[in-house]
Amino acid sequence: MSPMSRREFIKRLGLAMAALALVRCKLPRPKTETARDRAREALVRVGIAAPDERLMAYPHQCSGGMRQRVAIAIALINRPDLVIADEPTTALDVTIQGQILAEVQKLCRESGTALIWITHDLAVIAGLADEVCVMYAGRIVEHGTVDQVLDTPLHPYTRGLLDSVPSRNRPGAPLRQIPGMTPSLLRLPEGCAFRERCARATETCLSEPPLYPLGDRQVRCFHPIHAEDEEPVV
Amino acid sequence: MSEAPLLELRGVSKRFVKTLDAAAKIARRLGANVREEVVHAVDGVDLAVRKGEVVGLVGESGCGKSTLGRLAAGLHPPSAGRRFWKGREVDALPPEEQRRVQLAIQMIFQDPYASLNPRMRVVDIVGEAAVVHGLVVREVQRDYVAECLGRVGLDSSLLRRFPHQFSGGQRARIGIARALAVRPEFLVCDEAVAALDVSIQAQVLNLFIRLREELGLTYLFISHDLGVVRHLSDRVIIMYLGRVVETAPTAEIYAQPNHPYTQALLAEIPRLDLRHKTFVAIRGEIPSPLAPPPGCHFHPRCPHAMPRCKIERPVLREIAPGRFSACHLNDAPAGVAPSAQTEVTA
Repeated sequence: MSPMSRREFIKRLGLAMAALALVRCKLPRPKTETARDRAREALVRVGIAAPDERLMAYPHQCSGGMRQRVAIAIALINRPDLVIADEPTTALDVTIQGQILAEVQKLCRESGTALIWITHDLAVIAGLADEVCVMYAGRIVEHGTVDQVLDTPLHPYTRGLLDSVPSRNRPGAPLRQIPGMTPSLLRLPEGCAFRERCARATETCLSEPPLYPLGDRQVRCFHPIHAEDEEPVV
Repeated sequence: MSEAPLLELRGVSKRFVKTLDAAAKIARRLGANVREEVVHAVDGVDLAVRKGEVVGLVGESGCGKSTLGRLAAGLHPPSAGRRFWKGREVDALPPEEQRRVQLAIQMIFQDPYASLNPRMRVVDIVGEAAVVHGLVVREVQRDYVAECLGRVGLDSSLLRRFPHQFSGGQRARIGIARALAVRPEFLVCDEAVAALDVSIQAQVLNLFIRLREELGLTYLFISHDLGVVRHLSDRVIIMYLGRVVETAPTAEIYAQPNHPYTQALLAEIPRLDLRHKTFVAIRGEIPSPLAPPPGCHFHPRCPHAMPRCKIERPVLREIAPGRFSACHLNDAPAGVAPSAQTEVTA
């Protein structure tokens, strides 16, 4: 989510964070001091330089990158086993995005926190993720390791997404695009939801495809792209 | 380069002043240390765009790229500097011609959700300006708008709809259709695809490429997405804190960035072919434009900063044909310069 709306505007950061720690866990006494220490510790972990000053700052006094780091610190304050991050770097510049990615990666590696990173940026996925699930119209259509999915996509939709990334196209030439629009979730077409935009669709696709296991991967398609019948992704 | 550039900005600056309110004025009268705050959003920038060219303008948020775009489009009057259209100074033209120039430069705005009036129907959003400026008569507005929509790949049955009835990609197209409705020659696209998903982004970028060929348009393409800019632009301008730090033809700047900031920026882009990368953070953040660091604005974050960088502002000068960079390292004697630097001069 956007770092601007995520923060409670009127609270000092320290107060907001400490309140969170107080509400969510059974803290050893003295409670207020422990909560404050937890908040401070979380800020240090996400690499904020002067945590004591920042605890007393209001959200509007922090830059976008700083706010996003505070948002991550709040997610970490109760020492979770799993963090779900919804488009956390989409609103940020490349340099700030790099900082956030570095912090998040360090946390996962050091404390063993699991991470679900929700994004539409395939390049970030390539650098960060171990496993990838691709979703289309409310369903997972492909699941595999990051190398499998990005190098040899099985589902035509995954293939289409990868092909439309500018860096995979010749500069200046028209980008290869997926025809049509995402269907409205209120009026999903019968059978495979991607059928109407898919070049491989046949009459079989009028019934709904299950999530097929294929080796150690899974794909929801009757006509998955096999390595032999399609040129590899450039 | 005998022909004058289509649009040229010479030494333009834009300062935003936060004026004091009544309480602060009284406090100052009484001797308090309150001053007006001045933001140098754009600081002495030269920009020339030739006909048919696509110029990419890249920088972090807050570096003044949108303000420069607005200066180019004439939406902000510059605080200093002059603006030329086809070699003639815009402010010196008679009013009627000034209006014609204004129409010839159109802007496509950042946010497809905020830049369309929610109370107007598409037929009026797209057609209003063309009617007001007498390009078409009101009787044929519907047909004209239908034609404009067709050009950007929207169906004419959508004429009577309101903006909220469209998806993000469709709204982006409406924004483009609105800009094209007054038959411009020059489009300023301010983060026009930033809010869109990859698949929709590809469709809109393809539309830009097609329109350029069909209508012979010239673009100033503002974006923080270096991948998009590389795909579309002939030439790239890199801005940092209100100043241009480097400008070069696209292929060259991506192959051999000269300025340390450009190098850092390019190294930060996540890439599809780099798996399980270990991300490293660039030091620091963009400083506040209210109190920019003296000398070279980039020196607090620059790995090659020298004492001179803290005092003297580097000028933008030609380091190779068509390539300009503002960095003191380019003056350094051979051997002192960093590796990328020697590659460029070699």
